[in-house]
Amino acid sequence: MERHPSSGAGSEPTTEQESWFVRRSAAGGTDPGVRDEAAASRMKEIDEGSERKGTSAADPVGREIEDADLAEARPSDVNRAANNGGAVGQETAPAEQPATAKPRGTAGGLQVPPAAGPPPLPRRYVAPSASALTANPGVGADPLGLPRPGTPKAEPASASADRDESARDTFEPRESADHGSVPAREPVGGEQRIQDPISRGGMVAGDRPVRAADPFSALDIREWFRDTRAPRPGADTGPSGDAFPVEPAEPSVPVPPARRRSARATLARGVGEVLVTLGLVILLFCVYQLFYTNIESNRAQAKIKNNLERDWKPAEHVPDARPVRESFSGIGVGNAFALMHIPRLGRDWEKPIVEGISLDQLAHGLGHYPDSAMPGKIGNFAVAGHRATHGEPFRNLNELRQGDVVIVETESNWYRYVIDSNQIVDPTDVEVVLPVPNQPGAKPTERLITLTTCNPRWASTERLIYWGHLDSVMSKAAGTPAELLG
Amino acid sequence: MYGWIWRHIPGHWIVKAIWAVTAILFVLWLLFEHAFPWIDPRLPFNNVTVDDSGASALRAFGGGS
Repeated sequence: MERHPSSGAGSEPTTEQESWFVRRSAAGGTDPGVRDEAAASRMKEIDEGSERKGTSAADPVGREIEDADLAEARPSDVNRAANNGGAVGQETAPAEQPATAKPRGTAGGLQVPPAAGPPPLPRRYVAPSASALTANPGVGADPLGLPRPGTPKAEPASASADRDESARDTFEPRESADHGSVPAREPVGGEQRIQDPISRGGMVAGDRPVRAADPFSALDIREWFRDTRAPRPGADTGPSGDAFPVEPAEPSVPVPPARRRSARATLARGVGEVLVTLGLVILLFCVYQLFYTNIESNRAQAKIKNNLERDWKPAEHVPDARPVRESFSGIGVGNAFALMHIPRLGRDWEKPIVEGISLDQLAHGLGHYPDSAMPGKIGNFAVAGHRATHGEPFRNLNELRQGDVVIVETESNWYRYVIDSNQIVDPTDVEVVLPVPNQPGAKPTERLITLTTCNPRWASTERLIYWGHLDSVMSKAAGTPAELLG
Repeated sequence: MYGWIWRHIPGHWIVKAIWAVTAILFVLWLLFEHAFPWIDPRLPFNNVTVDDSGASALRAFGGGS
């Protein structure tokens, strides 16, 4: 008790030393009963020596010698004796120790009756590394040139450096209290600051592992929803000082010029991001035009064709069936009423013809100019179709040649047209779809067909026009045109 | 802009990523189903008829069926 006259550390050993001891005895199996006599007598020598020298609480030299002597002893002794600054042995050898260590100045723990049971364990193990070493002022600079007494303890100290550190993170106030409870042995604050990192194997603030980067924290699902909205980088306080509780964290000093530059950089980055985004949107629009409209249109056309084939009752085969006179009455804009086949564009080339020529209708197939004639009627059966995008049914219309066949399939008949001529005209040349093309006001006498699409393919500066005439009409009951059987 | 959005999405980065992907898909849906179809007829790429006035021109010229 002489060593700690003013603190409760005598009756209540420090956490570090106590747990340190518990750990060592458990790991090394140091049984107090088998402790050899040499060690005991040596202990006695040491104790007497320290008493002889009048070791006092404020006498670091005495402790220095004492620890140095212990360092030369066998490791098991050292393990035990190295802790004699605090609560050594009163739990492990309650019966034997009082006899040998009667005068021990450091065995303040002897005051505690063994019946008091084991002292409260620390909630987390705290290795003695930093505190035990730094609590000894002579460790850092060994004035007597003796073997460094902390050497045997260096192994546990370095091995548990991380845990020690984390323990400090969590229980910083308590740690500080522990430090404060040993005022006689606590060196000057500055000294400890220097020694602390060294005693932990030279760990400095920058080496501290960043726990936030732990990938396994994602395994805790509560962690997923934790609000991690971080403060702006400028407001970062840097590495928190809790790595070294003795050294309070310094608040970061804002640097005004850097902030101004970062504001400008932020603006520039924002403008750049907006521009990149606009570029991406334009690219996406190209994707929409080139691919997505085709997908949509083909889907719609397939649906329309299915509906037509479902509505058209299959005619029973009559070899000599005559064509049916169709009225095409009551076909509203947007309704499909026919299918067009152009064998030149492909054996399976088959597109629905929808009433109306707005983009809505043209997206569903070919569009019939509403005021033009119906298939097979006297006049001009005029049809428009996309050459690019939106299903592009007339994509290859320019491959048509004179004499090619265009077959229009309705509910009852096949209308077989033959191509006569073509022409590239201006978009405003509406005369091409007149009942008698390019002859306004003329009375129609022929049954014609007109196909219109854009030219060139990716522009709308001109129109590509094909004309043809009705060659024959065939009842669907009579069979299928030879061109479609190919 | 994107950094600002990312910082203002709460939660773990996995949750942030889920939110970000959802937002991107929503923007794509808006573009492809609404913005692009709206802008499409206003661009001169897809005119394949001899003018929308062609039908009325038929009437004006006394034609049609």
